[in-house]
Amino acid sequence: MKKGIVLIIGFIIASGGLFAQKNDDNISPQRKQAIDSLALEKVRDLSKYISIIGDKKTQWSEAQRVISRAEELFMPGSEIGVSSLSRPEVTYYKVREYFDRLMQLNYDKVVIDWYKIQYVSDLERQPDGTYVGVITIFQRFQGYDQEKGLVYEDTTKKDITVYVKRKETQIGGRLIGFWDVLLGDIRVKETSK
Amino acid sequence: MTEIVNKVKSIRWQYLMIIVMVAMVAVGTESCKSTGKMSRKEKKAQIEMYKKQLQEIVAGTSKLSLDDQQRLISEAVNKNFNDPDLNALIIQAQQKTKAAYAEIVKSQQQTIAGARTTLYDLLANKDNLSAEQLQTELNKVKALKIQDGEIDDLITRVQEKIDKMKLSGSAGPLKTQLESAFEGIAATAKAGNIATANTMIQGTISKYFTSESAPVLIIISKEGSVIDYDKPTTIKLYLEFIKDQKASRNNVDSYLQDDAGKIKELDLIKK
Repeated sequence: MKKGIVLIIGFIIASGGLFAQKNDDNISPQRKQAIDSLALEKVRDLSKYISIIGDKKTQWSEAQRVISRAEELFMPGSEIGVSSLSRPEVTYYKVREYFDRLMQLNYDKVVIDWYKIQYVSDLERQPDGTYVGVITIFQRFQGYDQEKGLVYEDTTKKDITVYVKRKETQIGGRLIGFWDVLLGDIRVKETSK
Repeated sequence: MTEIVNKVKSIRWQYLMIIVMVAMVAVGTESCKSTGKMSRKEKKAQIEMYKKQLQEIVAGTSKLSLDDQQRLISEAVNKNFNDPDLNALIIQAQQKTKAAYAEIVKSQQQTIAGARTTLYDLLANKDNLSAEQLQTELNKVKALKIQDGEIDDLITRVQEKIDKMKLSGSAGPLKTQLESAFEGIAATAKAGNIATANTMIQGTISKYFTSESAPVLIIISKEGSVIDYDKPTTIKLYLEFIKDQKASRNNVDSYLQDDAGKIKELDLIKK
């Protein structure tokens, strides 16, 4: 008899859990599309920040402010890969270090452009409710010398892991449901001239 | 003894009898009045009268007001005629008036809900109406003469907003002014004038907002009552974001102002 009661309670708890999960998972295609776009937009925002940080005309204080904004886009502890045509290995730096190095690159002029920003792996819901996907980008890097002109350029394909999670907060007495998009590691996939 | 016999003989008995009879008739009439009993004929007539009026109530053709109908039903119940047909009609009429009262309450609730939605829309001014247009819409709600505390409060708030808009002059609706300011910052940054863009950011904050930390919410999706937002930010960070991205990608959806007319909370929506 006791065993039966335990089984029934277990079944109720398990079915309740499944139901809750189903409700939470119930996102319409329109909402999903909005979340997909939001994550892509964050990557585009990052590309703008990177070009500002790399731009030698950007004032130091302005670059520091933009680095802080860019850093906020990432999960703590994330790394960004750096490659070069002159060496085969890829070096990974913590986000802050990457931006600091980017700001101090030994060129007179740096142009960084990201393009073909698209999903390589769609956002998929994980058991903890976080949506995880991978966005791929192509980066065109050009380093100029004042006298010699363009001295280095490459194109790198990079994969960026994105994490999206719904959170809630109180603003002016209102309960707001928002999607928190955070970027993970940026992995170098290939580098070419 | 002889004297007493003579006295009795001297009484005029015929007058005494008349007085007694008049008194009896008077008492008899009075006792009839106090019982209030009707003749059968009168009772039948009253039952018919009630039946007729109750049938009209049941059929929905009664010309009496709903309160008068309720009063008539109560009268019929209190008379206690004990007539099965009349009793059945009383029950039907009671159900009819109960349903009518419920319909009135429902209708009033719908009117209140509609007015509440309209007033919140006017407060947010999502349609970017001018002060005059807002006043016209508000007057429509006022004309409904709704007696509800929340509606009264909202009417007061909308009226205050309109009055402030009228006082603030002819610079156009605040929504347009804000969106112009956003576009201006983006265009200036795109042209490479970062210092000017920074000045414009400071000017926009001090002119329109309670402080640089006024919250800004960006709606990314609206589906029925479910609204999805981007991560909340502040007006300073948002204006800097416009400068950095060199683009203004959102429109003003709604805003909340303080007593001085400064924005204390801003909702944006994707273009």
